Amino acid sequence: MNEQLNYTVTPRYIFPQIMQNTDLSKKLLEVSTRSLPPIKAKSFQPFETVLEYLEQKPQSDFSLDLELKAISPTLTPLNAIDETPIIGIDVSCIRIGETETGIICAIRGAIVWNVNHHYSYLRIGPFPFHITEENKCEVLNHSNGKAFSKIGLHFSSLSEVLGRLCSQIERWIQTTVSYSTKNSIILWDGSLATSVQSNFNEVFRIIKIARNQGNVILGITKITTIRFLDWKITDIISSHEAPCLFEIEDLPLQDTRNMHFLGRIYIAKLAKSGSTFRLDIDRAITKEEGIRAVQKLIGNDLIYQGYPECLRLAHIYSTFTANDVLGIQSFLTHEYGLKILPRNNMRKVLFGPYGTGFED
Amino acid sequence: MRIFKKVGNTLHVLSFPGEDTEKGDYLLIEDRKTGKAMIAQIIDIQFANVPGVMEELLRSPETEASAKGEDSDPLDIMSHILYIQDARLLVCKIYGTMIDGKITPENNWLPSRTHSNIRKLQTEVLLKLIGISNGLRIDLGITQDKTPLTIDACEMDGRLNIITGKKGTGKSHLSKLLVLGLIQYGATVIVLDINGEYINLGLTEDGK
Repeated sequence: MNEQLNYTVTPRYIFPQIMQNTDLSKKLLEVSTRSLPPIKAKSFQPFETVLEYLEQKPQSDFSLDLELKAISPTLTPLNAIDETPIIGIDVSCIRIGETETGIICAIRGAIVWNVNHHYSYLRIGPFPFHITEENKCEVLNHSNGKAFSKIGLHFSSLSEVLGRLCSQIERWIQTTVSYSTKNSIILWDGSLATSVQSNFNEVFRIIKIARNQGNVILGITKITTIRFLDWKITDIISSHEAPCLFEIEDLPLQDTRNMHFLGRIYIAKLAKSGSTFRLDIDRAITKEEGIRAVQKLIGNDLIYQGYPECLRLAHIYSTFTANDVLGIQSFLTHEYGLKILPRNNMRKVLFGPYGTGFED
Repeated sequence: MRIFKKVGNTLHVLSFPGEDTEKGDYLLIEDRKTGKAMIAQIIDIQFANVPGVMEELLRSPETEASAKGEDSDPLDIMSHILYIQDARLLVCKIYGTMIDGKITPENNWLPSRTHSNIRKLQTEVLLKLIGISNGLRIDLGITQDKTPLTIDACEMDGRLNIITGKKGTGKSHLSKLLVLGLIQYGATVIVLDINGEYINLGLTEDGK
């Protein structure tokens, strides 16, 4: 089940034998195949418009209100540093359809490496899951090894459970990559902030593993809601010369909820005429080391529209296309005898041409 | 194979890898509920319009410039994805309907999408169904499935026979075969040869 990857050994960097000593795929396969048998010979309704339901995991970016009390602008120009491997990780999930008792979804992860300006990737999955009220605890516990209590999950919708499952799988992949690589820059999709203590412990552990291997984790958030007064923080440095980092760590923050920040928060403008993004750097390393890590990033990875290419490719490879969804539906009908029932567009049924709103 | 849609006297049929069909093949669409069967010939083959194929092709590692990589796909779902990518649309011309073993030119009924079987119709079987007699056989050649194709000269007798087709489809060639066949049976043939292409029809390959 686990594929063996063979890479050329270089004097400076030994490509990670990432699947060799882990049971990542095996565990995912186990959770997936345990959840699916109840759907055998049952029927399900695919979601109406495939593209309408293409969705990604929830971004872990939180709205921070910043008050202007004292500004200590710390804008750091960056110089590129070469010869460091860059690794991007992303995980995508999608809801395939509804059964009588739950939802069918699929999750896929991707890891992209850039070593000496050559890109390569590993895609893990897709893994379909059938999540119901009955098995949601079991699915999460089995994949996590932790004790999610039924009471704790009682008020979680199936979509929320899917989000958690997706996050768990992403943490697995992040852990595996952190263990098996050395002296690399590892890019995560999303911030290094967590909202609950359990997540904090897990993310803290992964970051520590990475640090022990000489890796630096950078969390990049595509869309941030951070504001400075009423200004979007990413607009503040948009006119500045790139590449640069703007540290907002020292600005007084007014938290809107109970959050834990495992990274120092910056706004990064990595390329001329590129967009600016929130960038979190592991706060356990020094500022100088953090800045050096970003310099290594821009020295080794293509920056497209201000966004690192490794992370962009990881997103592209993990994302589900409509073709993928059809393939998964085909797999389910062949393997489990699942019958696909057409889903009525209730608006059109009830209101005819007046029920379409802005749809075509 | 599954019926996708019917537009006038054209039928669109969805075909998947493993279902070997070519342009020119005949299909028999048997509607189990009505007992009727539609006869159609494939006149064009296109890729089925599968959503998301463009994105899939753009990110596939087929070109030298793209990133090299591997898929860890224990459930082999990728084979289903690729299977759908290779779905084809067969555009077929409806030639008639078979009811109780007899062929009629009827083509204005709709076979069921869910209760129809579609299979290739061998030319030999089709010719038997049409009931080509073998009075005075004129050989025209062999079909794609290696069946000899003949026409009965007696069927042309006393009738106005018209050969139509686009440029380059073999109208003149067929005409010459018929002329030679009729001559072989002692018929007198008059040709209004505007382009002078029948002048050498009576000569052998070495000019005799």
